[in-house]
Amino acid sequence: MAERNDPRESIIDRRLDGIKKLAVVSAKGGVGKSTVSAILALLLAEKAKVGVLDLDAYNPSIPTILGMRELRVGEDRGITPQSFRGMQVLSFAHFSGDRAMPLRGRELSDAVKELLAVTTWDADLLIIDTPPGTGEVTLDLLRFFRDARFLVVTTPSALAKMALDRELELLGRSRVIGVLENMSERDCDLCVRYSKEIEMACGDTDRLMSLADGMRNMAEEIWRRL
Amino acid sequence: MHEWALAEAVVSFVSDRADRPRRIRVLLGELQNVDEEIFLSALKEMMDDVEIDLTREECVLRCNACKKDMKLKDLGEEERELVHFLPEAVHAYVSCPLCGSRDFTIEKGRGVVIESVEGS
Repeated sequence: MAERNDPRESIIDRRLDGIKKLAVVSAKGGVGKSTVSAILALLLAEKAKVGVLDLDAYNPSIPTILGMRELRVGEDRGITPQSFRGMQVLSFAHFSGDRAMPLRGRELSDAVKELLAVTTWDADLLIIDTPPGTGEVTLDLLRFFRDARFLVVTTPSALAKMALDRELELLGRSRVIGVLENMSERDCDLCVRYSKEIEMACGDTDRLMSLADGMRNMAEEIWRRL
Repeated sequence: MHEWALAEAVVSFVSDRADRPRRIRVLLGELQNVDEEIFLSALKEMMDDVEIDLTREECVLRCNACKKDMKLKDLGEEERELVHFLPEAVHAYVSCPLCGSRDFTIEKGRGVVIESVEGS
């Protein structure tokens, strides 16, 4: 064997063996993937050991939404995610802080592989927040995890509908456990206020948690389908 | 100690390719700054009868704007630790010393690479 080989790919599926994986995806940006991921994680952490992996290298926002003030990772025969509110959380922000991390395609995939290969999770469920689009991160999740399930987030806009159709066409029906239509509140004053309150609660975990109570049924249904 | 996780990846890779590995050659990229002693002792613990050759590879970053190569400049202690965990984090902390661009590619010396596995 003369060629240079990457050892990481051989261990990724073993590293996450036995852990349910839910990727929260959308072909379109700004539909609320990260907020949905964070709220789902908070709700499901009441019934299972939940890990949250934020794979948005360009705009990692999970720590901000969850209200994590100080970011740190540990080391114990691997990278250990940060414990927060009974969850384990790891984000690209743990490594880049508030600086930009401009990566081109191959290196973005390299960064994703590194985190998947060296992080040791103690979790029943890993919720994976992803960047918008059907690029490296989605493709790597499809490639490495045959058992990963996808929750597709969308909005009622016509542009989001087009993006949704493309996303579903790529993922295939068997891997999608549901489509969540977010921001559907335009015709309901109460819903508009609720949506605004959630936006304002980002970064305030207690407030977010109390508002998330209204989504408990949805979280239960997702858990049932996993 | 995340060298253990990297060593486990190497062992997993080798065991997928050879039932009785005799010798492996591994490159350690300068960027990831792996602790050679810990890495080697982890490998030895998991594959005690395999000869292990470790070679260091210098890191070369190539600017995509001016196309010049640059060596890894001194990073601060905290930044070096973050790049040790995730080599691509270097993109958050380094820019081209000649043109100032943040757009560069890690050409060589990123992390752990297996050059060869000998055995049957």
